Amino acid sequence: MSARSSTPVFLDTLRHIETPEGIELSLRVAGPVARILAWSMDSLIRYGALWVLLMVLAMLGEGGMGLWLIALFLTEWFYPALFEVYAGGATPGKKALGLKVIHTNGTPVDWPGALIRNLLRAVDFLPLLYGFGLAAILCNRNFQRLGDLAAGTMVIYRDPAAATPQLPPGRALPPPFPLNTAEQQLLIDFAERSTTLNPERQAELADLLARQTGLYGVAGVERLCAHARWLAGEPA
Amino acid sequence: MPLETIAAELRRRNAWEATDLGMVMVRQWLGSVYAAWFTVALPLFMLLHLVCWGHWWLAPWLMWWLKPLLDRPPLYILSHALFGDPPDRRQFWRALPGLLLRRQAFAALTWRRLGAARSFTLPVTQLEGLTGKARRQRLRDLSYPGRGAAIWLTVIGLHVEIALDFALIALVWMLIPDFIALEFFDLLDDSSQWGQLWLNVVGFCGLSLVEPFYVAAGFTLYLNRRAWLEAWDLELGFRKMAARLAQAGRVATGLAVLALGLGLLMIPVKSVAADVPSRSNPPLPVVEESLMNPLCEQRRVREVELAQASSSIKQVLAETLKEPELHVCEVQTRWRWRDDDSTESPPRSPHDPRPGQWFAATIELLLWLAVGLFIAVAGWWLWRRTPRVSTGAGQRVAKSGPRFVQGRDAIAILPDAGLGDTAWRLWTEGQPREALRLLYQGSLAGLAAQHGLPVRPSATEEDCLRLAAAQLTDSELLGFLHCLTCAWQAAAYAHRLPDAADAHRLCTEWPRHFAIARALSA
Repeated sequence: MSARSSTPVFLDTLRHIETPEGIELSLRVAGPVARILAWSMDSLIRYGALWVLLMVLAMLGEGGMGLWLIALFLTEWFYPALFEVYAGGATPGKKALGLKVIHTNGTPVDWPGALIRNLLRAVDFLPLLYGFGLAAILCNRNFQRLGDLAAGTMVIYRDPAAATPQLPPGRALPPPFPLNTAEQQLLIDFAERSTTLNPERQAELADLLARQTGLYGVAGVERLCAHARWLAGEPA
Repeated sequence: MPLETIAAELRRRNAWEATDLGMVMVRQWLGSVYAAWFTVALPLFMLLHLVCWGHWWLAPWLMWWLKPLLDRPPLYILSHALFGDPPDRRQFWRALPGLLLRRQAFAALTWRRLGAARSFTLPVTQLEGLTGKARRQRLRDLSYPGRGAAIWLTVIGLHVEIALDFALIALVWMLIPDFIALEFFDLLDDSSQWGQLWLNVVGFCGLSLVEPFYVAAGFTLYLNRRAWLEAWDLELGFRKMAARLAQAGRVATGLAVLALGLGLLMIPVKSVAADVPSRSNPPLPVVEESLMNPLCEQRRVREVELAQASSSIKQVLAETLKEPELHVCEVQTRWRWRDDDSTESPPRSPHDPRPGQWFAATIELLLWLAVGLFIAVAGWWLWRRTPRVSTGAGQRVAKSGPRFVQGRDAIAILPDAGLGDTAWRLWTEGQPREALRLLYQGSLAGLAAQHGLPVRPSATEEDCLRLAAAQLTDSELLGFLHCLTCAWQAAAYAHRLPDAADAHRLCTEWPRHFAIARALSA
């Protein structure tokens, strides 16, 4: 119970990558809960399809069973890899959960990567029911299981399509003080989300900047929204 | 709950991302969270076995039933640690009875025990201390969409716990040596008292592995929901922004005073604290004024920073050099050859009588032979490939010259003076490509026969030109060859014919270069 540490911690699940062009990307690494759900969904799809196939092929007798066993082998080993390479890094389960597989350097996963991470499921499955895989995920900074570590891949949340900000209508005013990019974004966020906050909370937030705007309460909220509209490109 | 002290990045996450943050939190404060967990869970586990002596199958069920109480100490640690106030041992022990016995412990163990979103409602009960109607209202406000994720979390937690139990049993089974004849399913046998105890221990391990993570994930779901609803990220951002702007304002004020010539009142810029504005503290007019002119203010800030720097730059430098980042000590571990250190390996006698040595020596010899053979073959191949001026080889190729020309039809073309006329006749008869081919083939045959040029069947037109350029000195002949090759290539590959005048010129020039030479050599 002595967790008191001198250096301040700042917990998050982002992984920052700098591209060769010098652009910093923040990838949101996906943890066990979403991945277990995606895996369950994939299992349902896979074994459901195999079950239907079994019903059909059972009518063909022994030859049909042979075909079914081949299908079982193929789906067991290549279903995830196939989807990960050709369907944008996501099996149907991962797609439903908004996940995708990429290399740790941010590039899309390719055949070697997908094959290694999926063939090594056999190791992650040890000693039974993904015991080692789960342990690895919980120990690893990027939530990588052993197959991911070997293949140099990780699972991230895919970014939702960027939407243009929907600001409440009103007049636009240039801010009277210089703002950096993060602060401009903050003001636009505030205006955009002010409709989802109750009026008291809106005023509370706007009052934090009352000393700068010189306005309190509803007037302050309206002033900040006006600055946001100006920053978002509306004419003054 | 001061937001400035929160030890996690505040941004808008989806529900699954929020649970991930829970995992990271447990990892961060692993020691204290597990200490808090085992402080309660381990004695309880033993106590239940004492109480249920002889009916040990009952213990895990009671343990399961009491889980809502076991969740509370880890949540206590996590919530305090997250807001920058990790409790020490004494604080924890003082809080413990209240955690276990009060805060609606009875309700948690009876009618709320089977609530599927247990991890999500626990913070409302334990941290906000709400009861009755207020609690219900609060949960309703917070419910969507955190609650759905919390239910999934419970479902997954349950399954993961069972899976981990089986995994632990399988792990133990794998580690049991062969001479103990145990089957995997023997380890699942609960018919004996000891078998039951073993399974209870496994179950306790599985529970301990999952439960703190489950609590943390539920807590972060709750936090994330509140952060959305109350826009915590905006609040934190606004606070930082206000502090920055206030500081900028102070600096500008200080400079304005300085500019008035009251240099004695120099305000130390670095020590200006970023205090939080409040309603009781109305803004100073001078701050407002300077803020209204941002450009002016920015310049002043820079000036005052420069002025400060020049006076105390050595001090800053000394302080910077003391920073721990500049005194990084690294330990590197790497593999190296054992032979590097001669003291480690005992010297072996060169004539070791062991048969392994002979075998190794033979293999080594064979390997060296193989390497030698490879080098020899590679050298021979290179020697074969390289075009040479050596007369012997040249003559050998030259003798077989007419046979190979451009490999197509094996027309034996002997370069004679009439070839130019024949070509021109072909051209006028409407077979221009044939004409050019005849000229070109004749030239190659001429080069081989008259100038001893080792033209290979595999050589391309460019190869021939290069070879000619390397070995012939007659610039007129080279120019002609160049023109002819270009014309031939254009006709053969691009179906672009030279105009008749050029073709005629080539036909008439041809005998001058080859037939005359032949006549001279003959």
